Amino acid sequence: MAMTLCADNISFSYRKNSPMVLEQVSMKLPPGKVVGIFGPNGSGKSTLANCLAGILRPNTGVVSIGEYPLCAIPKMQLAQRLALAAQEIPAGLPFSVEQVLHLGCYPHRDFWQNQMPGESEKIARCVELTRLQHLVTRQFNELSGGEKRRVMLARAIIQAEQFLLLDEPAAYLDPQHQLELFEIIQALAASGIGILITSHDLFVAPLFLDVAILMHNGRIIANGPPEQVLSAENINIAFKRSISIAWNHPGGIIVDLGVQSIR
Amino acid sequence: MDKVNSQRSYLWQLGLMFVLSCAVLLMALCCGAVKISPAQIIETFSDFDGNSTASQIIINTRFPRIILAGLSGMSLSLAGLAAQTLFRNPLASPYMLGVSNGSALGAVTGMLIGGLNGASLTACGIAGGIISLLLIKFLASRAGNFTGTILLLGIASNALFSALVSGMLLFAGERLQGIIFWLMGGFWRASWPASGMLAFSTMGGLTGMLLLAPAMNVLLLGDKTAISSGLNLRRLQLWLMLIVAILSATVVSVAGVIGFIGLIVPHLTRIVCGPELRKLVPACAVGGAILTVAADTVARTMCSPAEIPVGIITSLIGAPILVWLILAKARGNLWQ
Repeated sequence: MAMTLCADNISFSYRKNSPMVLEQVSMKLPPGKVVGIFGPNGSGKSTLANCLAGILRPNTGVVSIGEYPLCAIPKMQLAQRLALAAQEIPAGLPFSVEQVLHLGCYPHRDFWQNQMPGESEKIARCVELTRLQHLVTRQFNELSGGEKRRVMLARAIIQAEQFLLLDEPAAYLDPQHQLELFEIIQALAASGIGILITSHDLFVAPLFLDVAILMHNGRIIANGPPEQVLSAENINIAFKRSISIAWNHPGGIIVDLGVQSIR
Repeated sequence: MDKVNSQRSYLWQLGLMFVLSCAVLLMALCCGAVKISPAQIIETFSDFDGNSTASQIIINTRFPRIILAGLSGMSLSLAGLAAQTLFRNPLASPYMLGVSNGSALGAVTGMLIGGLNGASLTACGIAGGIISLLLIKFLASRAGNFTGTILLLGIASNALFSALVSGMLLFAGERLQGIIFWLMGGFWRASWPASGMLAFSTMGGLTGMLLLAPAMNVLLLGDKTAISSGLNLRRLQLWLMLIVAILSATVVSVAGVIGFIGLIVPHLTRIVCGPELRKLVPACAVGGAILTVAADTVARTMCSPAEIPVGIITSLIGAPILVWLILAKARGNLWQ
């Protein structure tokens, strides 16, 4: 049965007596939906993604899949269901792209790490989906920042069966590859995977979401359909700028930055 | 098909290393203050009860020494590979955790205060290494257990223990020369019991690293991705630290501080066998044994019958290789 990834009233601070980075945050990531978390730098987006991935443990509140808290799910089983594509790209990784993609199968393999049945086919399908055919034989270290990010995204796709948490997935990507990325995200969501993305980009990401969440100072200030959440009033509260989005423009959206004069 | 080709090429690489190790073994048995021919070696191994001088030299002197040197090389190169993976730093060495200088401090303390040698000296060295590891682990746990934190604590404790060893040498008196010679590293104290103890720790470390190799591959993706892949990061870090500590402390306690093997052998074998750790771990062990036995053979034959500490030879070989590796890294092809 398809289950939902839920954060229930979670709060988090990195140290004792330091300010809370997340305060009483509740949200849901249903299967087959794309949820986007927006907010300015330091608003708690990545911390929330890390809590949902089980990397950080909230000080209060619970993160759960269905009725099972993350801490009650064995690590390997959790990794089979859920993967995080972290914001940080590994430096000095000595592997080829193909070897990196095979590492996505790590939680699915047996104790001796023999290849699982159909592993090569699964990787080939993912390579086709993410359009990485021309990079497969290259060394990871030789790739550009954007290409590395796409490879790490593909690795996460290979790993996760139910939920994908993508921390700033569009960073380093040019507009063409941003659009490609969101097309891939939509295709994955259509296959039943719940996808969460964090972003501070208001130009492309909002178009492809089912639900948007806007954060400010560690709290959720709006949660719902993107058109309602990313209203001029809410964006003004979060980003302290008069930015508005025209949603009904043919071929996409127009973001009005509210700048009076450029030159 | 690619997988089959890759496995075939790996078997060829291992075969080549096996042939190379046999050649180095033969050279090490033949060379020394007394020259021994390959025919005498074959005769000795076909008749263990031989009482000839050559047989006595081979069985009682050279063979235990070659075994000790080979096991030390294996231990140091495996510890180096574990350290480079743990810190995700291609220039990390087993000595970066501070364990080797902790071990040296334990051994020097044993020599100066207790006048120890042999097995008790080895035990003191291992105890010093384990205590320094526990100290680093305790401090790291207070600072969040981050990989970078462990590295910095290792560098700090390395400097502290090194200073303490140097300070203790001021009180060494007439033992100073012997201790300095020991600190430079060498296998002249080779014996079957020392080899047996080192074999125990080396095989333990090798087995552990073979089991951990798949997780070590994932660790290279970064802490967050590793945890998200199902790794128990803290437990893996602890195992790797233990392996680095036990392997390097055991070698330091039986043979002194031998530099560069742990740093350069993982890189050299990575060039031959690639970065995948399940293939790299056994290749690294064999490569470390070959290089250390070759270096020891040079150390005991270059100024024969006098002996040069093997640490000097490994540093003389290792420093130019390290420079080459750094230049290769600057050109961006270090790990290819």
